[in-house]
Amino acid sequence: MANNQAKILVVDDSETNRLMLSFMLQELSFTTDEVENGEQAVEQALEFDYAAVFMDLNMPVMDGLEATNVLYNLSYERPIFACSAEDDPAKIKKLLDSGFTDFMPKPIEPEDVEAILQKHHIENQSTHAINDEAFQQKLDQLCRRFLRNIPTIISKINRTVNSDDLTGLKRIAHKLKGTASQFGFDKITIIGRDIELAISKDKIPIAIEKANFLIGELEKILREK
Amino acid sequence: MPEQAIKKINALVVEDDFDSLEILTSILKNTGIFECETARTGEQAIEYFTEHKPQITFLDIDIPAPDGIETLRTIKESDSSAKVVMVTGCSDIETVKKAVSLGAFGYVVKPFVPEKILSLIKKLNG
Repeated sequence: MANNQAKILVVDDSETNRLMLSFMLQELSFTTDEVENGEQAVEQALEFDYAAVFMDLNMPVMDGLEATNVLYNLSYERPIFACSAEDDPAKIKKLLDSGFTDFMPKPIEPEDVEAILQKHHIENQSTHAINDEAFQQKLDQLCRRFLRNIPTIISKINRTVNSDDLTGLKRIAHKLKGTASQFGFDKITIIGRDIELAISKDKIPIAIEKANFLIGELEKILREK
Repeated sequence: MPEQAIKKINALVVEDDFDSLEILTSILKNTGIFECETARTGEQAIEYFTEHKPQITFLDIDIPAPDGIETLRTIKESDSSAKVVMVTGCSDIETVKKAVSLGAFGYVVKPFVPEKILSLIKKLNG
């Protein structure tokens, strides 16, 4: 897991601004993800592991301040930089008091980007947790059990589909959604989520179709094991 | 640091999925500073919480009877300073907003990344 390039989240409703900032960050050997409003920023920041977030302030749907407030309230652990053309020190101070880690003046200059990353010790290689080994062992053990169980899971899915047991199918999908991605089978998690959603929304033909697709994917894992 | 010198933090992990439960408790126990109790349903969680007041609770949203959001509401009503970290497979914004409005302390999206959980834990005391 060494030599992982650290990832930064770029949030701005202007595509030009996003591309420019992403370009500067990539020049500094970071990888970037881009989103265009505060809601997407919150979802993305919680779902993935970013070294930092560059957040524009004025955006549609949810602005940068509200998004930062949400993340701040949830003890979000990474720095969030407010990107703004604001030059009133009082207003900048207010931003810093409301959850932003630091302030990044707009228009954004490459030197400023480099400086703010250095100031907050954000490195372009992501570091990994202590006790990784023990965690990895546990994960391997559970993953082996998951692989052993795949034939049973497949026959259970078949049984629920053939007997129109949607509650049963939903339960299996729910369980797969919860753990498959932890073992690196992201596709299984996504299909599991789709099936659960389809059944909740009473879209039964879609759920059945996805269930067959799920069986195919599980068989593929077995073949590649 | 000698382990025995530290008073362990009492954590409650609420998960109906056995694998997720094992993975999360293993991350917490590997730090050497946590003692984990586990619950499988909202009802068990509330019961344990009321009796033992764990210092931190990891609460899956998709648990049965009552679900994680309702369990969070009950826990916060009984102790507004309770630190509850929501655990979920999906970061849908409406659920996130609900968790914030009810006073959740953190929000962890699966798959579990040990480092993210450890940095969250660091925020426990300030």
